[in-house]
Amino acid sequence: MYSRMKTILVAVLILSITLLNLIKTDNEISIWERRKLKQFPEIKVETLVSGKWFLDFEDYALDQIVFRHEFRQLKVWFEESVLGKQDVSGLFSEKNHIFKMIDYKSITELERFVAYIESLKEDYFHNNKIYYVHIPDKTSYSDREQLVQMEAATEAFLKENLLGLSFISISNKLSLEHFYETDTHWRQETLHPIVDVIFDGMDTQIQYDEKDFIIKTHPSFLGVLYGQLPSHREHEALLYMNHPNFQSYSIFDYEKGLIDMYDESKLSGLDAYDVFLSGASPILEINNPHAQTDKELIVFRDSFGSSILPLLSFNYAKIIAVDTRYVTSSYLSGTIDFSKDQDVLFLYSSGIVHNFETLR
Amino acid sequence: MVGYFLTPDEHKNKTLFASSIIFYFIGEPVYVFLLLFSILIDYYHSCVIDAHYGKRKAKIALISSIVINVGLLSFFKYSDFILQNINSLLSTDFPLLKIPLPIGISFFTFQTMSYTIDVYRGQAKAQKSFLGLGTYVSLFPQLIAGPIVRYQSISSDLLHRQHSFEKVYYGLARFVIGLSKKVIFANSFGVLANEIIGATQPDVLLYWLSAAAYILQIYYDFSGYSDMAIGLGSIFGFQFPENFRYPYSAGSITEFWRRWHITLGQWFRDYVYVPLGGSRNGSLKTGFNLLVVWGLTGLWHGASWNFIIWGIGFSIILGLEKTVILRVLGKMPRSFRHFYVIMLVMLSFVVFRFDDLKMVFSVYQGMFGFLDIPAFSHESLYHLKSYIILFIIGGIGATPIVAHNITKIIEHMKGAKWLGVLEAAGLGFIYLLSASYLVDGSFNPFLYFRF
Repeated sequence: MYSRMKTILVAVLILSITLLNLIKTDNEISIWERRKLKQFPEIKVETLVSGKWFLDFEDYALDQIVFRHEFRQLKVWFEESVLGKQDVSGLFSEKNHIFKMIDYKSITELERFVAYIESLKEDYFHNNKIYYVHIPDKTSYSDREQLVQMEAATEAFLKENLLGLSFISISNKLSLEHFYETDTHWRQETLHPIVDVIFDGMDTQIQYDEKDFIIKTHPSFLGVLYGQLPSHREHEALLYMNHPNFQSYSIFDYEKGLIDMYDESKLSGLDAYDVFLSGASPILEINNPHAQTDKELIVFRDSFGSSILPLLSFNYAKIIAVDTRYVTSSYLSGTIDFSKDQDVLFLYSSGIVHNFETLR
Repeated sequence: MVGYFLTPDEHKNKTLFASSIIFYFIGEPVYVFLLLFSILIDYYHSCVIDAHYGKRKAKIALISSIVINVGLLSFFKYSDFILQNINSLLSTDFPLLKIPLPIGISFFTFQTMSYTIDVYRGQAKAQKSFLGLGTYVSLFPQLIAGPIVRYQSISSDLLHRQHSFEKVYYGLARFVIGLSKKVIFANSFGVLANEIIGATQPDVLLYWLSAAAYILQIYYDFSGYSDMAIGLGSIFGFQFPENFRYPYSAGSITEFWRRWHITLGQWFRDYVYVPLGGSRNGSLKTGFNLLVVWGLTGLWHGASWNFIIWGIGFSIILGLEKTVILRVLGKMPRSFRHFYVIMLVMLSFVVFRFDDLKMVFSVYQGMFGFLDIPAFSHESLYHLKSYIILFIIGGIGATPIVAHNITKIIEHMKGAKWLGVLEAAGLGFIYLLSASYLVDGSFNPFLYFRF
């Protein structure tokens, strides 16, 4: 009787999960993980014989398992709260923020990043004013001393070794409040002091009035880090700053064509941060008809650039933003006219600096 | 499983055999024919032995069976190792065959050999039904990673076995605990154990952490798999032998090997060590026998010199224990004896782990501070802090303390219904937790699948 009850309880649990999996319809994508989920693999004789079908089926079963998100939450809770792991696959929670540790490269390896910037300078920019802004990783604002030191060492190295350009440090102006709780990126609405420091380093001044912005709010934002370290938490707000002038801007994405400064359709997509300049783009031009100068700015940037470029745009007639993760640098000479009066700004986050192999 | 219980008793073996073959086909679609061939060979030879019991023909059939089984194992597992050694010894250039290793070949070949030898010795009756023998050899719970089940230990179960809620519950519990040992503990320790590989700035502490994590990884991996096999066996009405009895609680290496991979140790004892003369013919012959048995035990684990060295190393330790060390150890406090075992196991598993002997030497240098590296660094302290609770839970879990106390509580509270519910709930939670690790895990190797 005693054994029967225990057996039935455990068997019911196991069987009910199996049964629910059989009933459940397959999902195309995982919103939290921001990826397509494996679909039922096609049955072919050759994949059956080679064993590939069974491996594909295993991936499919794990992707489509019922309560997948809740299972992932359970694991994170157990590792963080019971085992007291310092990180879960490189991610950790602190001060209500989720952090993802970057794989810091050695100084010797970073010399290759410096060489990459040098080669861009030599190929394209001989008489331009060149600026470099290093965006510290969010983890350097956590309580983990080692990460703070690694980031400080990175900035010090870049400052010392990137020659022939003006290095603008923003690390002291940034704090954890400048970043989303569930994302690696910074919050656009907090960037005025940062823009101020950057322009100060570029010998210019902010040419907009903060009061003219219309702040729009997307209340239910959960960033990319939430999908990687799922735990129970509230949504946060994603704010973006619209300006009446933006309506008359002409923004041309070399892949997508004409786009808006803010693509609100992205707010309901996989990554709401893509609201800024429609997300990733190899090259785009922001033309500002209200500019009181003919000056142009060429920005080599990563995704952090998308949210700060709208604020930088007031000072230039045109901004050309290049993301060399998606376009080879050798392609630029035939595409961009480098002969004009142009400032050059390198705006890279630490995550990209330490993963510079992605730059082409 | 549902299909098995819906099948009438007289057809249950058919269901088991068919599902075992499908199970093997999923992992090794082509080699399923090798498995069937192996069963057929031993079925035929055992019938011949049985028909000519005690006669010369029986002996010929036994030798033929052993040659074919060892031949199959050698061809699929050791051919490239043999060719590599021939090439380096004779400066020849024979191309390697690069044959993928059939999963579980070391386990099912040893099972079929033990069966035929036992029939020859008169210790087991020949199975007249191909289905019966096929079910024994291919039983999916233990087919690919043991334990090595002797035919005589389940021959009666193959004919008539009892199914009960007690057995099913025990089986479910063992399976769930085994699963958790594998996916929660072994895989987590595996991540730490691998930190040393490719570490740009290793330090002494990291080497020791990695070695400690590795012995816990391999224990939880292999014993977890054995638990799952024993559990599934129990659900289907079989009683498989225990394969691990808390080996890290041993007080000597001799005791360690009576607790670690028990069925393999028994196999080598009964089919190699004893036939060679065991310890009956003086210390020199005993030493030689130990050397042969442990060299072969090492070789069984993998076609590489590091495994042979690992095995021979144990033969030396066991020989020394037999002659001197055990007497000295007997006078030492229990804690020292545990320390002695853990240290030797940790150091020996370095050889087991890396087939590149240069790497083994380098790891030893790192562990004992002969490399120009710091004693510890922020990185290794970070790992220590991150894994300390897992080490504590894993360390205690590798001793009988937890199981002993849980059994005591259950015995004490016997009859309390709420305890049954609590027990089932606890098991259910462990099952869900294990599932969460499977869903979210990418690091999921079964170390013993390569054997």
